[in-house]
Amino acid sequence: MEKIIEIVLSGLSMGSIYSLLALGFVLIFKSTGVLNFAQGEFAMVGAFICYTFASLMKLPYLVAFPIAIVLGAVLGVVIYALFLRRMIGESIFSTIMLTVGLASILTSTAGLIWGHDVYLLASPFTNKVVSIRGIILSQGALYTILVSLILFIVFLRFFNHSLLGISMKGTAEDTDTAGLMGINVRMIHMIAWAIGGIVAALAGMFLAEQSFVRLEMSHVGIKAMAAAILGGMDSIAGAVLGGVIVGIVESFASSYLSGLEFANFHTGDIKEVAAFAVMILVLMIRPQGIFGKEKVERV
Amino acid sequence: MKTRILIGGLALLSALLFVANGAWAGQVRGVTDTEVKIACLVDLSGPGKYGGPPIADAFRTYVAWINDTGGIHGRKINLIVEDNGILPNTTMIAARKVLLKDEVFALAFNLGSAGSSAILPLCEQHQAVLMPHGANKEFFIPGNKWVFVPHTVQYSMASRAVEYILETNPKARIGMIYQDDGFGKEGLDGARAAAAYMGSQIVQVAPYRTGTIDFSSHMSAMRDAKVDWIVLWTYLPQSAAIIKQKTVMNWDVKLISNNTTGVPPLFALAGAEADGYMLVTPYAPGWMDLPGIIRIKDLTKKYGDYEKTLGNPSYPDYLYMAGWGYIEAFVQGLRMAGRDLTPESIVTGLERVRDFDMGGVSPNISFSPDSHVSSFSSLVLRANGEKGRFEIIDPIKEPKTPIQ
Amino acid sequence: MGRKFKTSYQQDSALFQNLWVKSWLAIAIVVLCVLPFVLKPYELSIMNGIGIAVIGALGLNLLTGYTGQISLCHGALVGIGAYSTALLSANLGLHFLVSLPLSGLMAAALGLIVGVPSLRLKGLYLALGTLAFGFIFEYVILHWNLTQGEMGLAVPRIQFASFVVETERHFYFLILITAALATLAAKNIARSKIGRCFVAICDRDIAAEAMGISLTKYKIMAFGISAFYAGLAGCLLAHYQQWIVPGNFDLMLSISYIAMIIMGGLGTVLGSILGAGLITLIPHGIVYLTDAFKDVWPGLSGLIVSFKLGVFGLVIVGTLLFEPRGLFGIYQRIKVYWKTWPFKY
Repeated sequence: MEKIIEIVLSGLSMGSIYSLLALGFVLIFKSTGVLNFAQGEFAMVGAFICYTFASLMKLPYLVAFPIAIVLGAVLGVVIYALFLRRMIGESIFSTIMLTVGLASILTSTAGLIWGHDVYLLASPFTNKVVSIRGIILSQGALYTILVSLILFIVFLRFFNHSLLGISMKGTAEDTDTAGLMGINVRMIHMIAWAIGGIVAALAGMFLAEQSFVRLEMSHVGIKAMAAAILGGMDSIAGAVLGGVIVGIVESFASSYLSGLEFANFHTGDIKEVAAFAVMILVLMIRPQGIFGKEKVERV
Repeated sequence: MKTRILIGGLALLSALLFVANGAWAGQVRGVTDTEVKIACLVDLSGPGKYGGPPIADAFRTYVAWINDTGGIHGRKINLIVEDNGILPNTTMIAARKVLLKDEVFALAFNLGSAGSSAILPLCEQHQAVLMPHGANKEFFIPGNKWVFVPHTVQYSMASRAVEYILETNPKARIGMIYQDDGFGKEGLDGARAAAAYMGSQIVQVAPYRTGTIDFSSHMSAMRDAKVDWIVLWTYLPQSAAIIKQKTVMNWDVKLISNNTTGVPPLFALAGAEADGYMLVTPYAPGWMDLPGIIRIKDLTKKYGDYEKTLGNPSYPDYLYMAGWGYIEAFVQGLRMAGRDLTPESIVTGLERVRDFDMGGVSPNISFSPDSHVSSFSSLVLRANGEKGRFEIIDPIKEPKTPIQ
Repeated sequence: MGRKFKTSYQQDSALFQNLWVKSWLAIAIVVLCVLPFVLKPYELSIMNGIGIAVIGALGLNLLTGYTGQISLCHGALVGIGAYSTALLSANLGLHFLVSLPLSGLMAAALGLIVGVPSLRLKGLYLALGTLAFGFIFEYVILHWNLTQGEMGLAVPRIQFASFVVETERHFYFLILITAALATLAAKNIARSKIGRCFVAICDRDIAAEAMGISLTKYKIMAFGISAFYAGLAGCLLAHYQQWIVPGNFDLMLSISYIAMIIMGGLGTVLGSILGAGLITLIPHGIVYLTDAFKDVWPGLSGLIVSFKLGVFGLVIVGTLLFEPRGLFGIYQRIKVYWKTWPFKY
């Protein structure tokens, strides 16, 4: 039993990082119709910014943290203003390809600025643990789960109750009509990218807290994408749930299915594909994801 | 009508295919009276960029020294350092480039084992000697005429690690965390063979995919199996993450790993917790006053950038030494091959390199027609967290486990 | 009159529509046949890389450009072709001429397996579904003993009687012939009923279904044909490289193929060829650039090397921002410009 709880908790802590990133995917997709393949790279850049201020410039971690969040938002806005703004109305393939291109530019630029090594981002909770009845959880993981939970509630309230949130939902529903109703669509798009940048930066810093800061961190983006699809690309609750599912599935797969050896097949680290296998299974049953709305199409 | 033209055209093309005979005859590729061109393929751009520059630095310094002292048999060395991006695809492009465009005589270094096996046919076809780093078993069993490996291989290092554990504590319960790729599996095979040879076994294994950094489940699997030693066939970030996880779990388990993690940045990442971390490597730590290391340092001061390389306390010195060992072995082969340099003569030249003195930096280099792997011996080092450096705890020794 | 205007459907869908096209084609064929005797081996190896990419890109364009089904597992299908031919010719000793179509069929069979879910999935969901398939393929070949994991498999040489295909020039002709046949087939598929059904599905699948086009049949057919092309490309690649490792067929390859058809132009045969050329040339272009600056300006050359991946991104982003229809769009603009010169429209 204890082991199960431990597995679930470790899945949750990774899962909340996926959730945060998936949230970014959903927000940007919902309001601008772009699947941002560079979301993982945003997270990596966010972590590197925090590292620059906290470890290189020796600012307190709690100062560097908000700076990284603000700069994450700025990055989102800049990317939108420079590139995506011109792509409105282009096919979905083109926008996907554009963000793939952006991802590789971001990685290379980060490599030029910060180098290809592995760096330590020391935070107040590094190497500290919480122990509840023999179950050990690192403080970093605990905070990751808590902050994601809080953010999830904040976003739900934001979208259902604030004027800005409602107009974002409206823009997502129908951009043209929203424009006619007096909503500044460009502004809405920009805000969506800013929020996308913020949650990515948060995810990046939490990930750095659990591991280290390095360029390859951005690979987490693809799994978060699987999480977003799993939950349904147009649902915030879906993104969060998808992230948690992916995290927990990975955690169980890694504990029970990894490293098995059969006559001519060994499972190796099955964790890496478990998330995708689950995603395919879910899509077979619900092609629009768990919480996704089924679109009624007209000719 | 159209179909007929089409068929005719295709027939003509097929005929051309058979007629065209692409033998580019001439003198030996990459060798002139005054120059021999060799390539060093390392990662200067991709995910392995960490390892590339130190190796390139060592090659450049060594070649500058050789050329300054008159070259080999009157030939200066023209070194081409090419980025191979460490992945198989990018390595392929780099190998084609140096062989077909630059027309080098040999590839004195290639970083990345999957990439090395991907370019092997190309080297065979163009009769170019290939010296792969991080070589796997595939390269020496049954052995390849064109492949030379100047230091030990992952398999033997893993055997050495397990033998060391069982020699210090015959009842040790050993677990293993390994990278789920050729590198890691090679280590796993070596460790298992050694455990079986010593009458023990690896009680728990946990693979991880390249790039993973979350080791909570791997480590709890190890703890559930009640191991007291974990063999890590991992890279630096993973080793540091495992040390971190060990601290979080407050678990005093002994760790032993491979040469790739034996670099100063480990102390920056893991801090004092790194104390006691062990590893198996063919290269002595760079701070020691061994004759070979003093010699390399002196030459670097004269021909290279000492402050940026070996003089820098956070420099990954083992990679510099590794690069040095490769080019030294290759140049010794050039010397033995004599003035008449051909693909055949460099192979026999390298095969004649016998017990070349490395001054304690690594086991001495010797090749023979039967063995293109210089030696299977290695050292065991232990991290000293206080001083932030590695110290030798077990001298150069060859593992007893036979290689299958 | 009949020469200037198209007066029948046959003329409209003719393969080579007028003298202009035919003469250009003739020139292209002559140039392509002379090239291997002029180019150096390295340049020839680039041409070979392009040729293989053209075959794969044509297949993907039939699926994504014509039928509108996005696939992020094209690289994996190329890998299936490559591993099929490696295993068939090494273990069963099959001849290249047998293993070439077989590896295409093998890829097509697996492409159909991917195609079936595509009947339910659309857009992004399909993209991610195929992406997942690509990862699962990579996982399987890394862990299945038959495929020997990360270190890969040797691929036997191609032999016709006593003649061994081994030099760059031999491969050039082999790849040229296959690529030419593949292009011709793609052109023919595109102009026939099948191609028109593909385009109808791309434009609006519900409308297409209402008009009596069987979505099941044609979507699966698109996946099958596209995978067959991928399999052919993989087979040639395997024999050309003589050694294949799983890393050859990762997500990056799938993305490169998508980049090829988007850069070239979606839904055009010429676009696939142009795009394949452009994307294959990028890394080699970087090689030439760094070599050019190596002695005069080593700093810049080092910078280019470390910014390699970024250059790929810059080319893609630049092309998309300035000409979202890709190289084919540029080609058409130039064509229109010359046709109407000196007038603007």
